[in-house]
Amino acid sequence: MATDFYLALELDKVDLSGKVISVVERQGGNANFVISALMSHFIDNKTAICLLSLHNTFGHYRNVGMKFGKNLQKLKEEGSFKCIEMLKTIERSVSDRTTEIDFLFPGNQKDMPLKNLFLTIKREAELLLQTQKSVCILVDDLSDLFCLGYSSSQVLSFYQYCRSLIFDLKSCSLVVLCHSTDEDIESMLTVTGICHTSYLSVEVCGLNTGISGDVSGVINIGKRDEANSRIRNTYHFKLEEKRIRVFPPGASPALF
Amino acid sequence: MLKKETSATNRQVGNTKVPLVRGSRLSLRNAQLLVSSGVCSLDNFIGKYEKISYITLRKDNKTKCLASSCLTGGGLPVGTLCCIEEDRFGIYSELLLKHYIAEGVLNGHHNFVASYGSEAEQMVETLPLPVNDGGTMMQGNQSNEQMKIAWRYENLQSKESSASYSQFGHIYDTSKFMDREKVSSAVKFWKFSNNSENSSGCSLSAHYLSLLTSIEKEIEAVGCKVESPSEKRNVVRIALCSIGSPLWSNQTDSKIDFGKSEAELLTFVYFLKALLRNSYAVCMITTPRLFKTAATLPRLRNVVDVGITLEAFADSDKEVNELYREYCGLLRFSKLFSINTIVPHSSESLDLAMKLKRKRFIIEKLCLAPELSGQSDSSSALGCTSSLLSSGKGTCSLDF
Repeated sequence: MATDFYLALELDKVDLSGKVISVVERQGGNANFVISALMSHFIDNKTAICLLSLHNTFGHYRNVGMKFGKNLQKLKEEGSFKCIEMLKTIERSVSDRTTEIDFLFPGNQKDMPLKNLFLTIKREAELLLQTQKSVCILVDDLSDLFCLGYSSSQVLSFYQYCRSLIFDLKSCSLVVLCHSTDEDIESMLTVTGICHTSYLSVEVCGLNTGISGDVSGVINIGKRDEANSRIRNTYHFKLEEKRIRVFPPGASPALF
Repeated sequence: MLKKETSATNRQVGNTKVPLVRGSRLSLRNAQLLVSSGVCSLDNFIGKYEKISYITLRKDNKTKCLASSCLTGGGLPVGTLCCIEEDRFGIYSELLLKHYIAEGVLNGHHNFVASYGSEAEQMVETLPLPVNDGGTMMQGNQSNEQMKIAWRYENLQSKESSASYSQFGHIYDTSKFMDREKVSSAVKFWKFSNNSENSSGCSLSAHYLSLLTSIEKEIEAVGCKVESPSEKRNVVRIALCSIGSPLWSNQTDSKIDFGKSEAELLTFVYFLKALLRNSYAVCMITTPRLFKTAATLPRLRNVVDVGITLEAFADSDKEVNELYREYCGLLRFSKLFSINTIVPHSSESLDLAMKLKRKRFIIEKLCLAPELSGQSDSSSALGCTSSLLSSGKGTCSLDF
C-alpha cells in the first residue's frame, strides 16, 4: 500500500521514539496521505496514537484507515487510539453555548493561551502509556491555529511544549503537519522553526508546471544522519485510492 | 406506500444507511452525498472522478493491460464549505450564488441567505428560472391534454416521477426570474440580533457571532443535525454574500481595525466549517479580495473545502482581446476537497472560463480560438496601411 513511501523515509531503519517528524504542505501540495501512511505505520508497529485533529473530523481518518486496512473505530474502543477533535468541540460549544472552548481564544490565558489544549494532549498521552508500550502524538494541521487568532510565536511555543513532552515521556514520538505559503510570513517562520528541530522532514509540493495524470506531486525528504547533518532527497509520487507510489523524478511507472 | 417512499429516500451503502435527499446523489468514489451547485457545468469540474477499469489481454505469452476510463459526475459534498473569491464588480459571483439558491428552491431544500445589508433580499428577487431540456419554462402552463402515442408504448410505465426526484442540477434562464412568492416562502433571511451572549470570551465580533448562532439555530430547527433523528432527511443550503467585506468589521469602535476584522473572518469560517461538518448542510460564501493582510487569503483557502477564484474581463484589457472573444471571465480552483480519501480531487483542467450566453451561464474549459481570422485581419489592416503609404496605387508592397 505505502511500502515505497516507507522505504523512501527509511522508517524500518530507525526507532522513532523521542523524535519529531515534520510534514509540510507547500503551495499546491496536499499532505493528507503522509499522515494516513504514518498512522498506518505506527499502528502496524503496535504504537498507540493520540491524534489532535484540527483540520478534519474523525470520520475522515476512519474512512481513509479502512482503505489502508486499519479499523480505527475498533482501535478507539480498545483504547489504543485517541482523537481530540477540535471541530467537534467547537460545534458542541456553539450548540450548547458553553465555555468548553476557553482555551481557544488568546485573550483568556495571557501567559500561555494554548495551555489547556496542551494539558489535554499530555493527559491523553499519559493515559495511553499506562496500557500501551509506545505512543505517537499526531497534530493535523498546526496551521489551523492561525485561523483561531494565534501568532507564530504562540504556535511555536505550543509546539515546543509538545516536543518537550515527548522527551519527558518515554517511547513517545511526535508528528506535526503544517501548511506554508509564500504570502504568509508567519506560517513560513513557524514551518522553518519546526523543520529545524525535527529529525525527519517531509515536504509535499505540487508540480510547478501544472497537473499531470501520472505524477501527483513532489516529496522532499530531509533527514539527519549520524553526524547530525541534513540529507535531502527528492522523489515524485502518485496517489491512488489505496496505494502510494513513490519513485525518483523521471522514473514514473507510466513511462515503462 | 409509506414503505416504498422510505426505500426511495434511503440507500444502503456498506453497513450504513445514507438518506438520499431530493436533488442529491451519492458519490461513487466515497459514498458522499453530493448536491448541485446550480451550474451543471461547474458540478462537472468539482469532484469529478475518473473511474479506471483495467482489461488484461493475453496474446503470444505477452500480457497487455488496457485501461479504459469513464468520468463520473461531481457536485458539492454535504457538510462542506465552498468559497468564491469575487470578481472585480461581483457580477459573476452573485450569478453563481443565485444559481445555487435557485437549485435549493427548486429541490425543496431549506435555504438560508445572509448579507450585511439588504443585498440578500435584492438578490433573491431575481433568481433565474429553470428551463426544461426541451427549452420550455418549467413554470409555464403545462397542457393537460392527452397526447396520442404509438400503441406499443401505451402500456409502458411512466418514468416521470422517478426522473424528477433524481434530477441533479437544472438549466436556468438568466433572463427570466422565478416567482417571488414561491421564492420568499422557500428562503429564510438572517436578521442581525445583538442578543447573542459572548459567554465563551470568543474573539468574534457581534455580527459574526449573531450569524453563527442563527445558522446553528436554523440547522437545529429543521432537524438537519447528524445526530438528530429524522425519517425524511433534507439539506440546508446556506448562502453568505460578500462576507469579509469592510462592512463586516466591528464598527462600534471609532477606528476600524482591518487586521482584526480579517482575523475574525478566519475564526468565523473555521467555526462555520465545524458546524457544517456535523450537519446535513452545505454552504457557499462569496468574499471580496480586499484584504489588508497578505496572509488572510492563503489561510482562508486552506480552511475552506472548495476555493473558486473568479476573474471577470469587464473593465480590463482582456475584454477587447480577440482571444477571449467568446468568454466573459476566467474561473480557477484554488482548492478542491480531499475528504474521506487520500487522493485530492483534481479538476479536469486548470484553466476554466465563464461564458454568459444570451440566457445561459456556462463554465467550460478555456479553449483559445485559432488565430486564422486574426491573421487575415492583421494582413488586411497592414494592406490598408501600406496602400496608403504607397501613394494610392492599391498594391500591398511597400515603396520604401
